[in-house]
Amino acid sequence: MKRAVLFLLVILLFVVSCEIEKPVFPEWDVKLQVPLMNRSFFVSDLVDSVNIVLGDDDVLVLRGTGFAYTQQDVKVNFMPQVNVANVPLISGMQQPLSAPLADAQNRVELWYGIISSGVVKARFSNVSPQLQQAKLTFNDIRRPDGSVFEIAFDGSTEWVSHSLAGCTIGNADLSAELEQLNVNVTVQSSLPNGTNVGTLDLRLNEKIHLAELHGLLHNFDIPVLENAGTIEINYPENMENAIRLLEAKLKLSIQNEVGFACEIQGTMKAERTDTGETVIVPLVDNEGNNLTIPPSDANGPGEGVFIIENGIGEMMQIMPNKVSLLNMKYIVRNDLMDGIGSLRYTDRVLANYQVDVPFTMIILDSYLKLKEPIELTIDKDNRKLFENHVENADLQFLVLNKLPLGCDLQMLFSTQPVVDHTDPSTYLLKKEVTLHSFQWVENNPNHPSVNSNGEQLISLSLSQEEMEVFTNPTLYLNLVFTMESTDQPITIKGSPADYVRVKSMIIADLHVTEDI
Amino acid sequence: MRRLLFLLLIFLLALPLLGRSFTGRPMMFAGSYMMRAHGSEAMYWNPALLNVHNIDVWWPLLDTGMMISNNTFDLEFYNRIMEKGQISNEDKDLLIKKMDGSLRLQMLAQTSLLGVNMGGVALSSSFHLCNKAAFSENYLKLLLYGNAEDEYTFKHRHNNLASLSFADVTVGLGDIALPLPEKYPEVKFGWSGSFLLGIHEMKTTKFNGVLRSDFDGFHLSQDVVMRKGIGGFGFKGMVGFAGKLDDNLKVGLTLDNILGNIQWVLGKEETHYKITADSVYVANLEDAYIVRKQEDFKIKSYSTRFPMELNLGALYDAKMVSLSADIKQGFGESQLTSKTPNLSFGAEFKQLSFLPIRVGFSTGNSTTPWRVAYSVGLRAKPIELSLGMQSINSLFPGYKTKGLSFGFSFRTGI
Repeated sequence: MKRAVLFLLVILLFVVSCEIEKPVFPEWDVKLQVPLMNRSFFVSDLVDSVNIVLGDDDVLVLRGTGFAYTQQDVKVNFMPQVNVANVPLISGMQQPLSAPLADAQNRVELWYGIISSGVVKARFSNVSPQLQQAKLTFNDIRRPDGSVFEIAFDGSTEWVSHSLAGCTIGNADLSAELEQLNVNVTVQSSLPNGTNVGTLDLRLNEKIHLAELHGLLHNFDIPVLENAGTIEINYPENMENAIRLLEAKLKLSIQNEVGFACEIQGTMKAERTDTGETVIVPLVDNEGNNLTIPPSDANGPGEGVFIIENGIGEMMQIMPNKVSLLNMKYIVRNDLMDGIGSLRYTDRVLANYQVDVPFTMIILDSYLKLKEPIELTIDKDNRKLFENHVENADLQFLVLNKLPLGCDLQMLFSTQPVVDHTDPSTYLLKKEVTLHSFQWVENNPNHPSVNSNGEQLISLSLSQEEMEVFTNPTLYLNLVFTMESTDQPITIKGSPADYVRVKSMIIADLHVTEDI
Repeated sequence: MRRLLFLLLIFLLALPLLGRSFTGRPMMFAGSYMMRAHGSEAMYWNPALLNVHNIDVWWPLLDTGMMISNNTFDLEFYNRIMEKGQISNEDKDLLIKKMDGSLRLQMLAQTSLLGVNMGGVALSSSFHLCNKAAFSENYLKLLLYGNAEDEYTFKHRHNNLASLSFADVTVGLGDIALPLPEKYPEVKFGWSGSFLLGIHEMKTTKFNGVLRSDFDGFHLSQDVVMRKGIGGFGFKGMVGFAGKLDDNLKVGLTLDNILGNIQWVLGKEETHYKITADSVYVANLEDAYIVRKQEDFKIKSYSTRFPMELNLGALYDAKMVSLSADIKQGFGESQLTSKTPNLSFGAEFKQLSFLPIRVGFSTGNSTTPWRVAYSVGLRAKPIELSLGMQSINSLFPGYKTKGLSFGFSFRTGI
């Protein structure tokens, strides 16, 4: 029995002798697998219907548009050569006077016009004191109120200029060309009829500006305003160095408010300022003919739409950042009309032009670099997390690339904004991943990085040492893309089947402590 | 967090849960008690043992047993972790291995309310509290290893909670000799019937969950149904036989839980709790499909059934020592029964009649760890005071024990 009691005492001793450690929060490691994103990036999302549009067969098209126009105050200058001298003023007589009214430059054949400015000069000299009235009546010129333009002797014997502003000249019914100036001279005096009472000099030999002209114009051109419609092209992230666009076309839509048929003359100039390359392409149709547009008529402005492909593709291959119309003008072509034409000072020729560049390209052995780095601000809690708890991480991407484009992506983390990806001393951490084009995936279906769905598994591992980079409060992420070069031209389309789907997940080893 | 973890550990170690119910003295023999019971206790173990010559009284709260255990954590492991301050991969593997599918927590408590036995007839009342809970090892895997596996499933088998409390008013009649030919040993018969007063029941009736985390996003589906009832009544019956093979050896057989059930008539409610999250990514949490729904339903009256249980027991009672062996076999799973057989053995050393010393051993089963019981009594007729304890999953209550139980017994009329 004593042994039994002893046994029980031993049991109790076991119980009371147990030491219980002071509780502490233990530390351990866990592996977390956190899905980050699942997102499809459709090429069609780039379409903004302004600068990037969908063309035929859903091909993505880079579009630049411009608007070129002529000056609004078109000056038509008519310079007659009327210079009549020493015409006797015969009392009591009505003397008809006529002179040829041809344009000194032979550019204008005037049938009818409205004068915006111009003068006719007359001088009465050797005037007899008995002259009571001397009046010149211009039968082909009418004042704005419709009355016939007249000049009366006012006692002055010097040259007097009489403004023609607002007057019409010629036949309003456009029945015939005004070939000569007809003036009636009426003289009255107290002297017997037939007496010479003075002398008349008449000049209409200075430029007359016509606000409206009906007739014919020769060698007359209407210039496009300088710098009108220049297109500035900003390629994203140095893209001009990495691709060569192969095709382009120019669409010119012209609205002609001028009552004359016109021929377009000029060139399109493309410049690339960083290389100094310049390409100039004449504005001619695909057969090399000049472009012409019909005159406006009662139905409205004359219209012309021209698609120009010759030379435009070559022009865009230099990846210009500035495209402009150079020395563009419209030349009046009477031979393209039946009868006469018309031109008002408000008439303009408006040209909308559109450069369409399909994304059919060759990828060059070059790289794209973000112009501006991405600034990453890492708050205190996250810095602590990276410093004390994240032991390593594996950022994984499952990418379904339906595009004919692939690239190597370099991610450069640094504490300074500007880095040189070829100089490791300028950055702290460099990680690189490769995304292949769908053609590459089709050709390499058994590659370890490609699964049965054609998705590419891209892994980006960060060791504990690399994690320390993220303990900096501010980091700059520079991205450098090296495009997967292609032997053949590729075309980027924007159909619903053209997209890149990215699923990503982070797998991280975390050290759990009390303060996590 | 530190405090939370500490509380969690305390909870895991001390949460009072475990299966079968018995008062103080049976616990002291690790449940090997069928042929040892007498007086009011006999109505719960073998009513055939009610003795017409005995008179005893069960006093309120003075016969109480409580057992708490889990199947995974012990003090040794706790100390090991606290001492190192870290959980190594070896520790994690060990822990998961110990869990064997789930962390199971159990508690039993039974206490006497009142009982009296006179002339082979007994009337008694006791209170029973039984709680069980199981949590899948996948939860611990998520906590310790992270979510590195593609998918985690959570089934009802490894994730459940059951809590039941009731009181009984039991009447029994025993010490009835079967009319057998004289050449056969004497076999006595007894029966008891318990009116059960259900206090509360809560149980998970459905638990399905899936957690997945991969390139297709974070997916969580959790579907839980909890049923609860407050206030009910029921019945269970027991018949028992006991025979004496010779002067020292007695054997017995009981069939318990006859018509055993509690019909819940008040506070009947079912709570459906559902969480669904699909294709959730960190980048689009705002747009993620996450649905949380909790619905409470009033339900019709329902019953908690207690499957019948067959018990066999034997007692060899010598002058200086008594040895006993019991086997229990339930015919269904419930808060009180298990389909897995359970063996238990007990011994009482009586060299000092005033100071009986008892030990017991139970093999445990798939849901209950093995355990060893130790007890000492102080006997001065007609009263006896006993104290006992059990060590769960360990020979001695020490660093490796996964739970403890304590028993207290005060009896008169011995």
